[in-house]
Amino acid sequence: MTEVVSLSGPEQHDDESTLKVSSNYSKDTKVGEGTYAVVYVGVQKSSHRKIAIKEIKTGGFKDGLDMSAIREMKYLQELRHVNIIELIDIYSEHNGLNLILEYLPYDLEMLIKDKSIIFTPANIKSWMLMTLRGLHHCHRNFILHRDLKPNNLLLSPQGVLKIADFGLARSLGAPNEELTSNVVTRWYRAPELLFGSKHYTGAIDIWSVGVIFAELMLRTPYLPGANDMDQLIVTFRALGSPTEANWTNVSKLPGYNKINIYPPPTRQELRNRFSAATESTLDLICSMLMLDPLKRCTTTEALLSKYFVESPRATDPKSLPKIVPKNK
Amino acid sequence: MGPTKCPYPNCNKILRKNKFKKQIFDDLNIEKECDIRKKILEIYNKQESNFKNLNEYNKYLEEIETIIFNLSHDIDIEETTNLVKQYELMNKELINENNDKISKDYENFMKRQNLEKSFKQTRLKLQKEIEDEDAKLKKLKNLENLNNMYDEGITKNKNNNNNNNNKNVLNQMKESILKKTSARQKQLKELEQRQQERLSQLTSSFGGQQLDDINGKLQKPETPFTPFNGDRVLKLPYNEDNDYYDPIYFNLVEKNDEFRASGYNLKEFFKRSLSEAFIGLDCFICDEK
Amino acid sequence: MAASALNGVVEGTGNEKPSKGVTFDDLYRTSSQYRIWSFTKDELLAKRIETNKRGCQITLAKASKVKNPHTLMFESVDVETLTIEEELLLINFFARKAVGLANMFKMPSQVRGTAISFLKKFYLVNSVMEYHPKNIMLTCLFLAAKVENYFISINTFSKKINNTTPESILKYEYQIIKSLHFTLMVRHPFRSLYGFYLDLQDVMPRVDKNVIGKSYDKARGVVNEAIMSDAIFLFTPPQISLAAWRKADKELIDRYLKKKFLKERKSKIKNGLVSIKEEKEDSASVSDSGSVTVKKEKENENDEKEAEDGDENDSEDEYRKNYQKLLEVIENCENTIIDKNSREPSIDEAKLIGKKVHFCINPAKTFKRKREDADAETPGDNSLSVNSAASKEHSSTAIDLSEATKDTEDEQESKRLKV
Repeated sequence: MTEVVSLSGPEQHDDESTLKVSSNYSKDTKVGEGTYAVVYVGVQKSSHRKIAIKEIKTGGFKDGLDMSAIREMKYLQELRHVNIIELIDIYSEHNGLNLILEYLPYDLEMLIKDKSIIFTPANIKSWMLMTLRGLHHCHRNFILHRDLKPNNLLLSPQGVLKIADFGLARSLGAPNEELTSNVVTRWYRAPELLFGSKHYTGAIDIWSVGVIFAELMLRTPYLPGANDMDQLIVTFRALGSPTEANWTNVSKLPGYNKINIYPPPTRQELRNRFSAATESTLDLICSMLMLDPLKRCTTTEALLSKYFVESPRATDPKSLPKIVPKNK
Repeated sequence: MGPTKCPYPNCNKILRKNKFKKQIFDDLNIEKECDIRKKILEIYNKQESNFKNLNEYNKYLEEIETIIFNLSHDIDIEETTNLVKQYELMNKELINENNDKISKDYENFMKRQNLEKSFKQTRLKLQKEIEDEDAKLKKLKNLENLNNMYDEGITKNKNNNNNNNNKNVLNQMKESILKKTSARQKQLKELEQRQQERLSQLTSSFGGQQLDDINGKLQKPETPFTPFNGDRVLKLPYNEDNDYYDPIYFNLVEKNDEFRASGYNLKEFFKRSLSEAFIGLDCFICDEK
Repeated sequence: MAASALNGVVEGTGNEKPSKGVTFDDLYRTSSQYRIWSFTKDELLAKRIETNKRGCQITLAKASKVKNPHTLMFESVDVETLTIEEELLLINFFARKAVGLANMFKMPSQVRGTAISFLKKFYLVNSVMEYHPKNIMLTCLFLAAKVENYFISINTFSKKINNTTPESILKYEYQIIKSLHFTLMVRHPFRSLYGFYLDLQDVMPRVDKNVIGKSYDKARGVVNEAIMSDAIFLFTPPQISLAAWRKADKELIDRYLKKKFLKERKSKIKNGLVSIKEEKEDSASVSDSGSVTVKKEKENENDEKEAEDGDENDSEDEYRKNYQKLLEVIENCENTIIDKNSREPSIDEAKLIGKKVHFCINPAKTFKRKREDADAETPGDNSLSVNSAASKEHSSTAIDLSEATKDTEDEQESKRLKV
C-alpha cells in the first residue's frame, strides 16, 4: 500500500507543497457529479495507481466548508481498514478541496441489478463478511456510518468490498447529546429512526446491513417505502409491528403513532420468502432485523454467528462475480 | 437363419442379426453419423482435464470431428480407420482409465441427485411438522387466553380450583409442544448440516460445474476460517460487567423513556469511556517518535 | 510496527494466517493525532524555531520596502520581531479568550478543546507574525463547532461577536484546514478522564463513590488547564487525564495506579481475570494517609508470594517496568501542564506583544507611529493626533482610524477585549 504523501507530516509552506502534491495526480475524466462534489478518475503519477479525485465545490455553502466534506475528511483520515475506502491524499487548489480516494469502479447496487450475474450463497456470505468487518472497525472507533446501502458499498477490481461515503457519519453520542433522526436512505432506515429517535446507536447501521443482506438474497429491495409514512407500513408488514411487549417503551418515541398491527412473520414464511437460506442464515438475518434496537445483534455477534462458519465457505474476493466492462 | 453374405452384388460383408439395430432417425445419414460418433467417442474418450490447456483440448476435439466427418462421408475411409486402430492400440490403458472415471462420475452424479431428493423430502416433512405444531401452539395460546379471561371473571366468585387444573393441563400441553418443536428445529438444523457434509464428500469433475462447496475445497491453502481475521481486541483492560455509577447520567437516562426505546444503553456509553481511557495509555511518544 | 498490525489485515475472507490480535494501543496508533500531531519535546521546539524564523524573515522582508505615505518612497523600517516565547504567550492569551467565547455560546467541552487544539496546531505551522491570533482564534472556534457537531451558523456566530462579519471569519477557514493537514478529529482527555472515573469505581470499590466524584470534578478543572499546554502534543489523552487527576489528588491516583497496574497484572497471570478485588488492600487503604505504609507491607507480602512462582517473575518484572514507565510519563506530563510555556500572560504583556504583532504584520503602520510619537509632544494640533492619542489608550492592538477596513476590525476587537 502506498504511503500517504502530504498527510504524513507537517511540511513546508503553502503553494510550494500544494504544487508538489497536486502535480503527482492527474485529473483525467469526469465520472460523476453530486450536490457538493464532482468526481474524476485519474492516476497517481508516482505509482501509476488509478485513483478517484473528489473535487469539493467550495463557496457554495454559505457557512464555509460544507458539513459533508468536513465529515468525510474527518473520518476517512482516522479509519484505515481493508474494508473501508482509502483516503490517499488531500490537496487544495484555487480554494477548491480535492480528496484523493482509491479507485473503485463498481458498487453492490450495480451487481444486484445486473440479472445476468448469478449470486451463490457463498458469494453473498463473502460480501456480508467484508461489510461486517468494515462496519466493526467503524463501530469500535465509536463512529456511526448512518448511510449504509448497496450504493455505498464499493468493490475493488480485486473483488474486495469497501464501505464508502462518510458524508453522514458521526461519533456516537453522549447521553446529553441529541442526534438527528433524519439519516440513512429511507429503504434502509431502522424503525427507531422512523419513529424520530434522537439517542440511537450503531444498531441503525446493523439494521441497514440486515436489509442489504435480504436484498442480496432477493435481488430486489426488501423494504421499499414510497414515502416516510409508507416506509413504516412496508417495514411492519414484512417484519411485524412493534408493541410494548416486543419493544419496551416504543410508544415513548417522539414520532410514534399507532399503525395497523401486523403479525410478525413465522419462520416458515421467512423460509418461503428466502428460499435459498439455511436456518443459520435466517437466524442471522432475524437478529439483524429485530425491531427493538437493544435486541439487535452487534457487529461482533454477527461475525461470530454460525452463518459464517457453516458450509459453504465465503468465496475468496478474487473469485467473486464481477461486472465485465462493456467496452473501453 | 444364421450369418449370410450381403445380397448386394459388390459388398462382401457378412451380415449378422445382432449387428442390426432399430432406426431412430428418419435421415439415414444422421443415423450413420450418430453411430460412428458413438463408436469413435468410445475410443477417443479423453476429457478436458487430460490436457494442459484449452488450446490442446480444442485441437483434440477437432481431430475427432475430422475423423467422424471423414468416416460418415466416405472420405479416406481406410486411412482414417487405420488411424483410429492405431490410436486405440497405443492408448488402451488410458482409454480404460478414462472410462472408469466417467462411469464413476456418473455414479456420483446419480448419488447426488438422490441425496438432494431425499433431503428435500425430509426437510419438507420436518417443516410441515413444525408448522403444524406452531398452529397447535397458537390454538393452545388462544385457549389459555380465554382461560385467563375466564379466570379473571371467576376470581370474583372465588372458585379457583378448577381453573388451576385447567391451567396446569394447558401448561403441560404447551410445554410438550414447545419441546417437540424445538427438537424438530434441531433435527432440521442437523439435517442440513449432514447434507452439506455429504455433498462435500462427493467430488465431481463434472463438466466444469461450479458448485460452491467444491469451490471451497479447491481454494488453497486450507486455512481455518476466522471471522475477524485477527483484527479484534481480545483482552479488555477493564471490567465490562461492573455496575458503574454516575448520578447525572443515570437520572438523565432513567427519567427519559425515550432512551430505552432508542436502544441507547448507558452501559455502552460507559464501555466507550472506559475504552477511551485505555486507548493510547501505553503509547509512549517520547520513545516511539 | 504496530500500525501495520491493522494495515497488515490485507485480503478479504480469512484465508490467510490471522495475526495475533489487536490492542487498544494499536487502535490509537492509527489515529491522525498520533501519526501527525505527536512529537517529542525536541521536535516541538525545532518546529517552533523554524516557524518563528520564517515569520521573522517574512516580516523583515516586508519591512525592508515599505511605502512611506508621506514621502511616497520605498524605504526600510525598523520592526521588532517576536521571540518564540512572545508568540506562545500571545497564543495562550487568545486561547483563553476562546474559552470565554465558547462558554458564552454554551459549547460543550469537546468544542472548546478542539478549538484550542486547532489554534495551537495552526501556530506550529504558521507564525504569529503572519496571522494575528485574534482572527484565527475566532475561525478556529467556528470550525471546531462544525467539526464537533455543534453547528452554529456563521451569521449567528458573527452577530454575537462584536462587529465581526461572516467574511472576516470565513476567510481564514481554508488556511486553517490546510495548516491542520486536513486532520480534523481530535481526541481529548475529557472522555478518558471520565473512563478513569468509572474504572476507579471498579478497581477501588471500597472508596466512597461521592469521594471519587468530588475528586473527579477537581481533576476536570486541571484538565481544562492541561489542554492549553503542550501536553496535547507530547502525551496521549489517557496519560494527560491521569496526570491531571494526579495533580488534583495525588494520593488517590497513586493508590489507583499501584492497584491497577501492579497488582492486577500479577493476578492476571495467575487467574487470567481482568480485574480483582483485593479486600484486604481496601480495608487498609480507605482514605487516610497512614494507609501508605500498611499497603507497602501487603505489597511485600504479595511480592514474596510471587517469588515462589518461578517464571512468573519475568513477566512481573516487565509489568513493574511498565508501571514505572507509566508513572514517569505521568509525572513528566504533570510538569508539562504547569510549564511556563502554557501560562497566561498579564494584560500588559499581552498588550505589548499585540502591539508588536500589529507592526510585524503591517510595517507600514510604523510611519503612523513615528508621527504619533512626534505629535504626542504637541497635542491638539491636528485631528489625526487627537485620534492617535486616543488610540494609544486602546492598545492591545494598535489602531489607526485613517487606514483601511482592517483597522476598523482592530479597533472593534480591542474594544471587545478591553471589556
